[in-house]
Amino acid sequence: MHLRVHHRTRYVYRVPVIDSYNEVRLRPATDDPKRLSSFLLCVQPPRRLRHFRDEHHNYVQWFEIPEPHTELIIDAVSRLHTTSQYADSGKPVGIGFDSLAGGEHMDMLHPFVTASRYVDVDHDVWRLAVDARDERTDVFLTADAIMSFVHANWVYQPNSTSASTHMSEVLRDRRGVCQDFAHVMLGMCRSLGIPARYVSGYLYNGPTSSLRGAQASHAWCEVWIPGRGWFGLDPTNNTVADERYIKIATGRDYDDAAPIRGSFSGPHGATAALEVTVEVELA
Amino acid sequence: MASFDNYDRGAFFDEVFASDGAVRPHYDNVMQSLDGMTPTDFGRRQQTADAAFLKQGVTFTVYGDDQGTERIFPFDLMPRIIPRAEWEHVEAGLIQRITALNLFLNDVYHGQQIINDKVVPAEVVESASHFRPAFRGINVPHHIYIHICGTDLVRDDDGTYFVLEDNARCPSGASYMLENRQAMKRAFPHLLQSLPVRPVDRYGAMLRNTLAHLAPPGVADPVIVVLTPGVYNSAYFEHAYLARQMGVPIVEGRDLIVRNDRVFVRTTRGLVQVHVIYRRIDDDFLDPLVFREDSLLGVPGLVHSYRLGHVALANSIGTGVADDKAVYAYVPKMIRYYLDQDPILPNVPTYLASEDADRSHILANLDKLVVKAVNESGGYGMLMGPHSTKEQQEEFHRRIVANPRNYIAQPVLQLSRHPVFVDDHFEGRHIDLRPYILYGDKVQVLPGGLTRVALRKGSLVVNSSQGGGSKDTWVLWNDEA
Repeated sequence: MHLRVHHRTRYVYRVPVIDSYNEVRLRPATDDPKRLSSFLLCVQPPRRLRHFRDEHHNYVQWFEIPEPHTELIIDAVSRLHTTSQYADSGKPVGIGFDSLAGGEHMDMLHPFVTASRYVDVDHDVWRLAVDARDERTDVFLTADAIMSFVHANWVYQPNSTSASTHMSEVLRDRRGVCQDFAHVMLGMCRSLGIPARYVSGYLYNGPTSSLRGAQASHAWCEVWIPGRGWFGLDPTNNTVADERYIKIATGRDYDDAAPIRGSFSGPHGATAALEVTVEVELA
Repeated sequence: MASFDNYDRGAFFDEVFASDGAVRPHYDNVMQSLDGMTPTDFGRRQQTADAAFLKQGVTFTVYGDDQGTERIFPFDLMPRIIPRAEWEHVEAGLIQRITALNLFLNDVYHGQQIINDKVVPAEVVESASHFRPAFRGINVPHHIYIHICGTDLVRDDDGTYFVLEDNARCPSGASYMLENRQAMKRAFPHLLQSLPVRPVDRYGAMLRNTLAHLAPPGVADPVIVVLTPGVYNSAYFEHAYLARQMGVPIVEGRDLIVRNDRVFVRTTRGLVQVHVIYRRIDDDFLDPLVFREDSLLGVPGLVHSYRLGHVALANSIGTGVADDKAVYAYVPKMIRYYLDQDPILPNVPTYLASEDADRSHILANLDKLVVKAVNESGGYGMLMGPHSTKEQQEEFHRRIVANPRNYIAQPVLQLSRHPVFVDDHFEGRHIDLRPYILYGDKVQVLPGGLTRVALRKGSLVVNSSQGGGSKDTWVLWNDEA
């Protein structure tokens, strides 16, 4: 699919704030760089941008605004051509749990089978995962079943959680948004030894989409299938992440892959408004 | 049509014919239509179009011509076509470039980080004749300096697009682009409708939105005016045309007055406050209190009102430092510095006479290079090396040595060519492209632009003041037509 994404984030401050420092992960990650035909970040107040690659190889841009300002606008516009990793050979079934133990790359994958900032790997989540697995021996089919389990047993409820809600809270209350669904799925997969990582990005599903997270920032999971690589699954919508999914960053959980992180100096409650708009359209 | 039989592609990049003589796929349909037409038929449509331009007064004045005559801008009926993938590349490159230029302007009029970091030398900025140091520290609405930009692009002999120059002050020609499309609709109504050509007629609305975006906070329905130097200006037709397209008044300086730091327009119903001025007069003439005191074109007090934020100007004051021909050479570095990206559209390699090494190269190769005076536009003050006489070269040698900062030189690009209808057949002529970029709530490039044609055989100068003409530019929704 040829898609164009315009993601705008606008902060309005009640009083002038200073010493703002921001890191953003907004550039689409494509396996083939040629499929990202253009990407431009534009910041107001106008600012020089620089970039680095973080430990998950995400493209991170950063900028500083030391002088007083009452508004910050971050505009990211990209145009890209997406494909589905499932298109060629379908779902990567046929790989058993035995391949996970001591398999290739498992030392590198360690961060993705253990607890992280927002995801626990404890008894509670393990018990749920065992139920969802239902004695399956295939890694991908197990992850797929966990996805459906989360989708079926959690309630999608905007504003019921915040950006810093921990998985254990979501496990208890059984409700949340895409970020929370992803965290629960990560915990369940990891408890069974399936390497799983968090993905932030966007979802295109037509101009009048019924899918959750469409026309907004979205989040889903990727699971590691030995010998095959990472495969995307979206527990919020109970679907594989195909060409409608635009990946911008990956990590252990939201903490690693948040699209925008920043800080500034100003009085408590200085932020009067935060507006986020995402337009994903066919280009 | 038999009139392509003896068409000579030449050793250039031809927009229509590939090197093996085959028609490029995006021209298939147009070429088929031309096939079904006799030269007489085509010539008749051309005459009708010319007559319409004259009747509507689509004209310009040539400076330095004592006759003071208005001429029509010669128009060639065969459209220049740009396929989708090519356009997307151009569009991304232009958006990147104007974003970087705007960051540069914001920087040179504030902290001058780029100078402190030694990416652009201070002398280059400070010696630019359109640099307005008095405007340092002034905050402009939404931090946008260049709201309307016309960037000239050319293609070399392998078809690569290059940026020839940025026009960041008062770029003209948008009205010709719009009129050219109207002319094509009249001449080839069915052809235009049957092809996936992207429309350009939104330009007036886009321009109006871009200007309205600048209005002071809290003004929901801003009063916008077009400020013209008057009917004797070479682009007066355009000023009136764009005002009409936007549905806003066109005014001269004497129609505006400043009261209580606010700008008002005199109307038959009394004074009405103006919020946004699309000014088509140079900085120098805007306000006699600040710039040239002998200017009768401007509005006393306007600049003060602008500083206080009661009225917005498009483009802002001092944007000329960004399209200075010496500063131009640093734009690729600016893109890397501000955006941390590689430039998508390359610059034409440029030698600065102010740099010792470059100057020696220029003076030794005056017969091969194009030399341009930094502070002239419209093709004035230019030496076309390969077509120049010994006397002209000696004259430029003297001028460069006397005032090196005022000259740059570039290699002669083998500009791409396009068939143009001459008498009863088609001949290849060199062309360029001026797309229009609008920087409002977001940056948009109008899908189209003014394709200028060097009508004189062999000539590389496309400026209307130097015998250039134009073509309609069709940007396609697809890669083929």
